[in-house]
Parts: sequence; C-alpha cells; structure tokens
Amino acid sequence: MEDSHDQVHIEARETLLDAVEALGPHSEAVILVGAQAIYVHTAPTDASFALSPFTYDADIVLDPELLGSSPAIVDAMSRAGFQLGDQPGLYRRDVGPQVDLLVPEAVGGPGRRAARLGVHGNRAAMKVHGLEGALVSHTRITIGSLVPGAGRACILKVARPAALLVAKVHKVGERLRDSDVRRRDPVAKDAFDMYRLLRAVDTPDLAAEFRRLQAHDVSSRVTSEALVLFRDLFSSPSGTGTGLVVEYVRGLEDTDFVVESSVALSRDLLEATSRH
Amino acid sequence: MLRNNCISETRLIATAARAIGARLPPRWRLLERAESVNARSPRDVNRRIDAVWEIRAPDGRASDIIVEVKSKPVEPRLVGNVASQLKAKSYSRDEQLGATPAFILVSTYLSPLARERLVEAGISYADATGNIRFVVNRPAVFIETQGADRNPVKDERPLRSLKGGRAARVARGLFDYRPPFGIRELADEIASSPAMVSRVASLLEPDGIVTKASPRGRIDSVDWEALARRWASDYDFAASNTLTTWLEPRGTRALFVRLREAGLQYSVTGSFAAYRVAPFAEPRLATIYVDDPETAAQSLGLRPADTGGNILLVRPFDPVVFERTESDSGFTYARVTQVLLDLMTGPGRGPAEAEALLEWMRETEDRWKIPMTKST
Repeated sequence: MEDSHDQVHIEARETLLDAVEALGPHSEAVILVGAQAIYVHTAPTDASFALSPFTYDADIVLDPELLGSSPAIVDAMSRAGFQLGDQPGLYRRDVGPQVDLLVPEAVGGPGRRAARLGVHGNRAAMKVHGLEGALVSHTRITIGSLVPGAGRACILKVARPAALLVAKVHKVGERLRDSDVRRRDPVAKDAFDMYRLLRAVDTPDLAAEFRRLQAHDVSSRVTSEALVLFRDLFSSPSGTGTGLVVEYVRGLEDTDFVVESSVALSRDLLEATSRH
Repeated sequence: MLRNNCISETRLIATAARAIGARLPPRWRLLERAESVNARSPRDVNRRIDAVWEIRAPDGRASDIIVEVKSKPVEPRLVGNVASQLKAKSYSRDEQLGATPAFILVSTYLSPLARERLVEAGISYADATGNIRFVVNRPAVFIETQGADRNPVKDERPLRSLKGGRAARVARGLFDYRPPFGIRELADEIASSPAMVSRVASLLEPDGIVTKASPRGRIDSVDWEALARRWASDYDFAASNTLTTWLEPRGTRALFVRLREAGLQYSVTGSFAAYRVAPFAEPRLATIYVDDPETAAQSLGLRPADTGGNILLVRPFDPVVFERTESDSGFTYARVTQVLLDLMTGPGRGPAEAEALLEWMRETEDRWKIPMTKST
C-alpha cells in the first residue's frame, strides 16, 4: 500500500515537472493551482491524515499577460508527449496523469469554455471561473522531483491558500449545480482539499489574503462570490460542503471530529474575513 | 446476644461515664442503669439502646440519658444520621416512661467538625481523647472539656481495594520499582507512609501478587502483570478521573505543538503515549492529564466539544500521574505503567492497545522498571 501510494506521488510530480519543462519559455506565465498546489501548503500537516494526499492531475494556470508568442503551447506540449484531447486545455500522455492548462475567466477573453490566447489559438487552455486569485496571490516555491536520487527541480509560482480556496469553492458550487450526476461525484475530494487548507493555514493569514484578493480588480468579484458560497456550503454541520468532506473521510477518519473541526474552522474564517 | 465489638463498646461507655463522673459537682452521681441490656428488643436492632445512664442531683432530682456508642470515629456528615437514630430509639422508650431524656454519643474520637454538628443537634458527647460536652437541663448540668483535635489512632483497618488515590499511589509504586525493596524504602520513594504500603501489600499478598521475606520484612517480588489486572478491577479510567472533551480543529498535531510551549504541568497518556513505544493503530484522541482542564484548555486554545472532540483533558484521581513521567522529543508522557492501566480500563480500542503495550512491557522490563536509588 505504502509503495503504491508513494508511486502516485512520484508520478504526479514528474508529470508536473515535464509539463513545466515543455512550457519552457512561458514558465513565467505558469502558476501551479489545484490539488498539487494545495499539497505544497498542507504537506507539513497532512501526515495526520490516513488519506492519499493528492490526485494525479497537474493543474496549471497561465497568465495571458506573461505568455510569450513562441513556442506555440499546443506544439510544445505535444513534443513532450502531451496530446490535446476533445476539450480545450486538457492534455494527456499515453499513461499517467492529465495536465490541465487553465486561464482565469476574467482574463480569458470572450467565448464559453476555450481561452482566447492569440497566437496560441482557442484550444491551448480552458477558461475557468474562480481561478482569478492565482494571478494576484502566489508565491515562488522550489518544486523538486520525488524520484529518489533525482536532482530535477524548478522554481514555480504556486497559488497561495486563499486563492486556492476561492477556486475550489467555485468548483464545488459549480459541480453541485451540474445536472450531470457523474460530474458531481468527484467533488467530495475537492471539498476535502478545502478542509485540508483550512486546517493547515492559520486563520489570520488566510483572512489577510482574502482581503488582498477582494481589494484587487481581477479577483475581487470571484472572491466575494466565493465567500457567500462558502458560508452556504461549509458554515454549518448540515451544510452540503460539510457533508461532502465527511463523505470523503468516512471510514478513514472520525467523522464527528471532522464535522466539528470543519465547521469551526469555516466559521473562524468567515468571522475573520468580515472584520476589517 | 452480644455483638462482636461489645467489649470495646462497654469499655468506651465505662470510661466516658468515669470521665464525666469525675467532673460532676460534689454529691452529684452518674449511674449506669441495668435496664439497658434487658430493654433491648432483639427483633428491632435499630431501636436497640446501647446504654442508659441516670444523672442524680443531691436534691434527688434525676434524669435519664440515652447513650449511643460508636467504636469508630463518627464522620461529621454522619452526625445527622446518629441524631435521628438516637431520637428514634428514645421515642418508643419515652412513650413508656413519659419522660424526655438527654442524649449522649460516646466514641473513640470525634473531630472538631463532628463535635460542632453534635452541638447543633443538641446531643452531648464524650470521646476517648477527652473531648466531653455533657448538657442536661433538669437537673441542670454543664460539663465541657477539650481533648484531641486529631485522631490519635491511625486507621489500621485492612484495605479492601485499590480504589482511592492513596492506595493507587502505592500500587503505582509497587508496579514501577524493581523489587526487592523495603516497605519504608518504597514509602519514602513514592511519598506515601509505611503503614499505607503495608496495607496495600497485605491486600495483595493472599493472591501472591506481592511476596514478602517475612511478615514484617521487605517485599521480595511483585507479579506486575497480576498487579495490573488486580488494579484494573478497582480502577476505571473514565470513572476514577474527571474527563473533559475538547476540540482542536487543526488536529492533535497542532495541539502538541502548543503543548510544548504552554509551560503547563501535564502528562500524555492513552493511545498517544502507548503509540510512542508500542505502535498500534494511528492514534486519534489525545488524552492528557492536567491539574485544571478549564485553565489548560484556555491556554491551549481549545474549544469545548460535545461531539467530535479530539482532545481529552483529564483531572487525575491522584497527582501520581505526574510522577516518574518520561520525556521524549520535548513531551512529557505518563509512565507506561499508568498508561497501561488507563488503556486497560479505557473506552474504545484502549484494551486492544493495552495488549500491545503489555507485550512491549514484557519484553523490555529492564527499560521501564526503576531500580531503587538506595541499595537494598
């Protein structure tokens, strides 16, 4: 069990590093988001969970303002073995995890799902509502390979915790509204990721970052929306979000504790963000 | 029919009567009436009167005094019971005689508080240390003398269990130290008394848990596993201690970080303490002895929890849980012997964790048994 768990870690990290290398000249535009970014912030405290800490996918935000014109993203990814599928921005190799290249909706241009990225076309990245905070709030962290003995590493912008929370709460809210039940299934994992962040990061630090996001034009709206949604989903034991967290940990963690803990931390955050 | 302790009670009554008689004014007399034994109704023990005295003034006026004798010290809280017993006993007798007698309680020792309660209840008293208060209205007599304020006779009753902090403290000592050791030697080490160590040893000897070289000699061996089982039958982690449940929403790890910096007196017991030496399942509930759970919770930033709590702060049955602790990575753990008892008698998977710990203890006796500092 332990070995396969480690293998999941290693493979996910390798895929991320491969994708970042493939994007070479564009690396300044790259910001790590999603489960792998969350893991970066929560790793020191995650040992207390009896759960696999992250999934395969590498979620990468591209800041259009910092993208160069060459190489073309789709070609560069393809040369590294990542092939674009049916949907814009979602790349796969023959084996291993998926790489999602994402652009926050506020800077993604017109259109519904595809980001308009000029010379890179309309298929290179997917537009996502809620990721705007990553453009505003990130930190540079050295991300190294987990292969024993390998020296591979790169310095990467990693979205900070509040930006990641905002993105996740939008994702959870959106999936819950989705009529396609299949898309709703994996959302418990996202709710649990949020809970991990709440546990790992001190509330005053989170609240301060929330205020910075609310003060910035590009992220202000999604952040305020996120806080409303967050209150609905997580601030009570009967909240849908709380229920999803519990669903994810059932059988692995003491669910009574997780409910109390999740609600207490959520309320702390809401209270701290409402103080100015 | 004579009761087993009748002789000592008779002697107590006679001594009290002599002490009071000696303090009466000239020509007053205190007589013990033969009626007492004969008047007893064998069917109604509660109405049995221990003795009846008669106080007689020089002018011939006389009054009866109903005597109740207790060969053991009467606890203050029981004075009320004694008073109602006395009144009930006198009631049927009064009906026959048409008189209102006085009451006196005679005992080996009466504490200041017990005496105060007796005065409030309007009952005279006399104890073997010389505390006397003897009040009769008709004919009017008042005698008061001061005896001891402390019971001079140590309680030498045999112990019946390991319940209670003082006995448990000795049990911990017998468990922790490597025999042989002398009774006094152990008492000194664990801040108990030789008498208490003796009483605990006497309780455990018949079952072979403790063996002594001679009746008054040192303790040669202690079967610590049997001792643990015996102690566990008298100890219940949840009932013997005071448990309070708290929530640290960021998990036990966050609590431990703060615990290291809080400067509290504490000791970690339960799953976390066992896990340190004998890993079983990943511990979830942090169980920590502290002097005052409320204050500790405040300084550790914990929130009260009805359900879902992950921290138990425990006010201990005895401060012994803070003694002979073990330090590891900056944390203070209760001694494995204490941890074992807490798990054996604890809830949930505690008993299973205790089995794992017991296994470790069997293999590593040299690591946790403490040698006596003085040579034996």
